[in-house]
Amino acid sequence: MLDMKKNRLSVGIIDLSINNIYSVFQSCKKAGFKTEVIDFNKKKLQYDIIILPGVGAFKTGVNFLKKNYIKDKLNNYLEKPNSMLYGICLGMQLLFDKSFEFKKTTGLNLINGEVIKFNKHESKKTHLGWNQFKIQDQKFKNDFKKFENKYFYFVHSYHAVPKNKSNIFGYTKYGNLNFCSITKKGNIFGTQFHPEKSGYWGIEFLKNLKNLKN
Amino acid sequence: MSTQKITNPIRIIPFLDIKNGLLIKGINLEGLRVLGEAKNFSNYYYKSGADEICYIDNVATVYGTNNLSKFITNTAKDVFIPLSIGGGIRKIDDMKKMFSAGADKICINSSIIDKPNLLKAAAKIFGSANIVIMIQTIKIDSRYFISKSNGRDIENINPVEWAKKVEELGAGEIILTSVNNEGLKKGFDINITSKVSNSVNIPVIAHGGAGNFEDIYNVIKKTKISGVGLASILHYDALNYFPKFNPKVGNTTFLKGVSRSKKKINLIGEIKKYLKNRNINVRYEKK
Repeated sequence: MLDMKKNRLSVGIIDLSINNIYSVFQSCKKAGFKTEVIDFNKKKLQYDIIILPGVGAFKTGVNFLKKNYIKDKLNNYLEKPNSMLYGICLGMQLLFDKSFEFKKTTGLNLINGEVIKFNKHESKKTHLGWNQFKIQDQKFKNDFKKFENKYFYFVHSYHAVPKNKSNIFGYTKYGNLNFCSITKKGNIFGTQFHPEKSGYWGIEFLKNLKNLKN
Repeated sequence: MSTQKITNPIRIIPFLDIKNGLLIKGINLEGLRVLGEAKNFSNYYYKSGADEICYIDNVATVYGTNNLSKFITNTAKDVFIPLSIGGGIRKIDDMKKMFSAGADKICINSSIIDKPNLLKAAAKIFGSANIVIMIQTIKIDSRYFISKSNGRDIENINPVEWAKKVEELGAGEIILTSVNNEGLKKGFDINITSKVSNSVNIPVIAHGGAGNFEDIYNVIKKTKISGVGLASILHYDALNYFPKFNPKVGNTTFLKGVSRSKKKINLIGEIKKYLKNRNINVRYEKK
């Protein structure tokens, strides 16, 4: 039992101050992670996974990360072996080069691509509710296949378009559009849906992150 | 151009009227009875496959919002689906407090009728998708009005016009409650639900009147709603499964008559199965 505890993944959550991190925190605990909110005054970031959650506007989020040197600290962290950054919803969008929310804003530049509004002809401004995804990434297809017929919770009006197709880990159909709902580039990972709000299968999805660490 | 809505699975949303952490229920939003600890009900609904949970605390205005935020935090510990909270929210600061306590959406009614600009500001700060407007409709003769106090005060505003207005101001979603039908379990007001859901592009949740599975099917089939709010139909079933409850406050006469010997069924699961069998898109999954 003691060993089991020691082998738990450690997760640090970034508090963007605009987001509600409480449910992310609780769901990580539920998934069995050693979980804490990151204190960026600490010298070293030693986590198996750092989670960048986010509800709110792109610009507010990116400004916060830049102003508090979190961006630089994250870049240093990501150079370490076994590090992993996981962005949820706005957190996923922040991983990209630029967003067109309100006006063009530069993101964290970790993955090439941009964040754009759903086409106006899709008639609804916001993709809100439960939806599914298909796994595109062949390497991890087997590890994530079990989630393909399950539902996850989405709330967003913008979506990411990776420049490089290999960064589309999974996609979701909304109206006539297939958009990238899961992205991955090396040790950087992101989902447009909220696993922390997706019930039983959301928690299972979090547990499954360990398969990306191999 | 097109008003064709793209439909995600229809959401089944338990509505819990709460007061000091207790679940209460009235008829036509009046004559409140205490049903039990609200947290027991929400945990049970979460495990039964609810897609979201909506809490309305109509006395929060009187008692302040501190207890409410404690209650939300306590719920968000084990309930991993979206939580909406409404009642007594009058300022941006109240909303901030609710979001940081663990709420995912804020539901507002009266304060927007009084100050429409508050909605504009809230949508800008918290994002439209997280701001829900509750519209209470009242039918008098054949005319519809809206109310901000469960029917006690009637505003001379047409619900369809009001729905369009709040969409324009930045509402992300509308909860449409029929005060006439609420708590009676005799079916939804299809007429007004259809009119409102046809006139806006944001999701509309129908609430008030579900008495049986067919009522739920009908309102989904005949209107363009995105979800259904259920209260009496779920609560009066669920309360049979909890240990005997003797609150110190409130009207509890009703509770004494509950038998608590019923064979347990998963009512939300049954509703979803019923809808799925009739080709309604619902989130129905086994663990």
